[in-house]
Amino acid sequence: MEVRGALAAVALVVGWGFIGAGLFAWNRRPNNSVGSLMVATGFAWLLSLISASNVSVLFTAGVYVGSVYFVTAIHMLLAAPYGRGLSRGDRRIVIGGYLLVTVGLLPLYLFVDPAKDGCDGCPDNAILIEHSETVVNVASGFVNLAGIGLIAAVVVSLIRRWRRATGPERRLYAPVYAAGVALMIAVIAQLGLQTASSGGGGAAEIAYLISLVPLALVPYLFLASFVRARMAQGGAVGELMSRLTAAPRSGELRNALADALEDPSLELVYWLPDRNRFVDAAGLEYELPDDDPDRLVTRVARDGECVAAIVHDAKLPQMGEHVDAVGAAAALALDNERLDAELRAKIDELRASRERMLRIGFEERRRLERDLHDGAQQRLVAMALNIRLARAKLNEDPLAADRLLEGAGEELQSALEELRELARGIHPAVLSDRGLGTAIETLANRAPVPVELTELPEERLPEAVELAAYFVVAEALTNVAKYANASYATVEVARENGRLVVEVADDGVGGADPEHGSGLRGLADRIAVLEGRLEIDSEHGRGTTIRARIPCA
Amino acid sequence: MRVVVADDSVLLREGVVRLLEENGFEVVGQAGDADDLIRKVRAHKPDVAVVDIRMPPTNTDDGLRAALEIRAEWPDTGVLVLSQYVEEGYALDLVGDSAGGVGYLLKDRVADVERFVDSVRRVADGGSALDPEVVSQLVGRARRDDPLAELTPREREVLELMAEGRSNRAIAEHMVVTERAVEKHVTSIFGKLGLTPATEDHRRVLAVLAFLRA
Repeated sequence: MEVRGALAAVALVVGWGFIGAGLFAWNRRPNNSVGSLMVATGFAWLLSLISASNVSVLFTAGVYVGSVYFVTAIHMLLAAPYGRGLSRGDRRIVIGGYLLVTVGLLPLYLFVDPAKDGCDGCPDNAILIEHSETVVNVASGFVNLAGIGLIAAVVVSLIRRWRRATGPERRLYAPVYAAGVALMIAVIAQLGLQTASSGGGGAAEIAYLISLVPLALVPYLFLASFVRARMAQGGAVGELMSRLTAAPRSGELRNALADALEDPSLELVYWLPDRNRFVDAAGLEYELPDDDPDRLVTRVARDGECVAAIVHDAKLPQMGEHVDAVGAAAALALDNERLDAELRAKIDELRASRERMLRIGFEERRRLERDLHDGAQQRLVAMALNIRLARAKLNEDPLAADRLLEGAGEELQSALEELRELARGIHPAVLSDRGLGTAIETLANRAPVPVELTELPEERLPEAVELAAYFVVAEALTNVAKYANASYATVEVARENGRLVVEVADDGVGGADPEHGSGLRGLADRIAVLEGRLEIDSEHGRGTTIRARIPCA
Repeated sequence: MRVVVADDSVLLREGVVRLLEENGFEVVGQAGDADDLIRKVRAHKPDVAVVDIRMPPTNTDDGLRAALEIRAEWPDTGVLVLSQYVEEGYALDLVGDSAGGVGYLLKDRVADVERFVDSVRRVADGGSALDPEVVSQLVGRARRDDPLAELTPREREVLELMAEGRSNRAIAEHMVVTERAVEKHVTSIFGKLGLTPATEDHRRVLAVLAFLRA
C-alpha cells in the first residue's frame, strides 16, 4: 500500500509539474502553443489517475482516457519549440494519435472484462458488452501495432527536423529532444512493464514508479529550451549593443546583425522615403522578397517611421520578437546608416548626371562648332571671295562686279540670320531680359501647333530655374512639333509648395520614351542638377504630358 | 529732320549716322547708353531717335526701356528700335496702345539703305515701321480655328505689309498693282476679320496687331 501511495504522490507531481510549467510558458509566450499543450498534457495525465478508483464508471473512464496524455505530449513535442502550428506530416501523426486513443481503443474496451484479463482487484468495466478473447487479442494487436507505427513516425519526423536544423536551432532543440527521448523511455518502460507482468504486484509497481521519473522531467526540459532561447537573445542583444557603440564602419552593421541573429544570409536594406523605395548599403535599389517563403522581412521603425528592413532566413531560431528586439536595439545605428545609404545613392546619381551633363556640354560645343563652320563661316568665306572678285572686275566689267556684290550681300544676310538663330539656341536673350513668361510666350508663338498658355509666372525667378523651365518648354514643344502629331498643346508654369511645376501637355499620339532620344534625357539631367524631377506620361493614343518639378523657394 | 542715334557700338553708330546724314537727316546727338540717350532727347527734342535695344548699363533691354520712356515723355519724338533678335514680344511692348511714331527693326535692316531710310522717315512723321520678320512671326502663329485661313494669299500679303506700317501707295508699289486694288484688298481683309476700317496707317497697324496678338 505504501507503494501505491508513493505511486499516487509521484503521479500527482508529474501531472502538476506539467500544468505548472505549462502555465508559466503559456503566460510568457501566449502565441506559443507549447504552453497550452503542456497544461493539457498535465490534465490528461491527472485524468488517467482516476483509473485507480474502485468505482466502476470512474475506473472505466480513467482507463479509457489513460493514453490521451501520451498523444498530447507527442503533439507538444512536434509543436516545440516555436508552437506555431504543425507541418502537414506532423498534423497527420497527431490526428492519427488522437483517433487511436479514442475510436481506436473502443473495440478493445467494449470486449474486455478486467477480471478475466488478469486484473483481480479491478472494478467492473462499465462499458463491457461481452468478454471476447478473440476481439481482445485482435484489437490489442492492432492498437500495439498502431502505437508502434505512431512512435516510429514521430521519431522519423524529429530526426528529419534535426538534420535540417541550423547550428543555433539545434541548440534550441536539444532540451526538447531530450524531453522527447525521456518521454519515449517512460512510455516504452510502461508498455514493457504491462506486457511483462500482467499480474501486477509490488515489484512491477516499483518499476512503474521508476518509469515515471523521465516523464516527470519532460516539462522542465521544455522550460529549459525557453530559458535558453531567452538567454541567447539577451546575450545577442547585449553583444550587438556593445558592437554598435564601438562606432561601426559602414557595412559593419549588417555583420553585427547577422551575428546577433545567427543568420549569415541576413540582408539589411534601408528605406528612402523621398524615393519610396528600399536601397542596400551601396545605395542600389532593392526589391523586398515578399513572395519568398524562405525569407522573412522585419521592418525596423524609429520614431514611428520605417527606417530599414531586415531580410532574414524564415527559419531563424529566435523568431519574431527577437528580431524585433535586435532591430529596436540597432534602430539608431540603422537610421544613421540609412542616411549614409541615401547619401551614397544621391552621390551615384549625381555622378552619373554630372557625367551626362559634361557629355551634353561637349556635344553642344561640337554641334556649335559644326554649325558655325558649315554655316556662317562658309558664307563669310564665300562673301570675301565675291568681294575680292568684284574689286578685280570693278573697272573692266562693272556689271559683273555689281552681280558679285549683290551675291555677297545675300550671303551676308544669310550668315546674319544663321548667327541669330544660333545665338537664340545658346541662350535666348528674351529670357534674361524679360523672364520666363515672355520667353515662353515667344516659344508658343513659334510653335507650329496652337499653344494655350494657361498660367505663367509674372515675377522673375532664379536664373538657373528660369533657364531649366525654359528648356523644358522648348524641348517639349519641339517634340510636339516633331513626333506628337498633335492638334494643340497647353503650357502651364505654376509655383506650388516651394516648387516650380512646368507642365506641357498635348493631344497627340503619345508613346514618348525618355530612355530613347537624348532630348528628354538631357532635360532630366538639367532638372536633376537643380534637385528637381522630370515626369513623363505618354501612353499610346493618350497624348503626352511632360512635367518638371524644380525646387524654387 | 533731326535725329538722335543711340548705340554702344561706336562702329555701328557712326555707320548709321553717316548713312542718315548722307540721306538728308540732321544728326543732332549721339548716345552710348540709355541714360545718355534720355539726356540727349530731352535736350534736343528730335523728330526721331534710332535706338539699339541692347545697351549699357545692364546690357539687357535698356534701349527698349528708354524707348518706352521717350514715347511716354515726348510723344512728338518718334522712336525706332533696332534689335539683334526677332522678338515680337518686344515689338508689342514697344507699340503698346499706339502705333504712331514707333518702329522695331532687325539691326540687319540698316544694310538695306533705301528701306531703312524710308522707315526712319515714316517713324519721324508719326507712322509705324515693324520688321517683316516680326509681322510674319505674328501672322504665322499657329491658331485654333484660324480666321486668317479665310484670307487669300494676296490678302495675306497685304495684311503683312499693312502691319509693317506701310501706306496703301507703298503697298501698291511693292506688289506692283494699283492703289485701287490695294484698297479693295484692305476692305476685304477688314471685313473677313471683323475689324473696323481705320483711315490713318498707324491706326490700322494697331488694329491689325491687336487682332494678331489675341
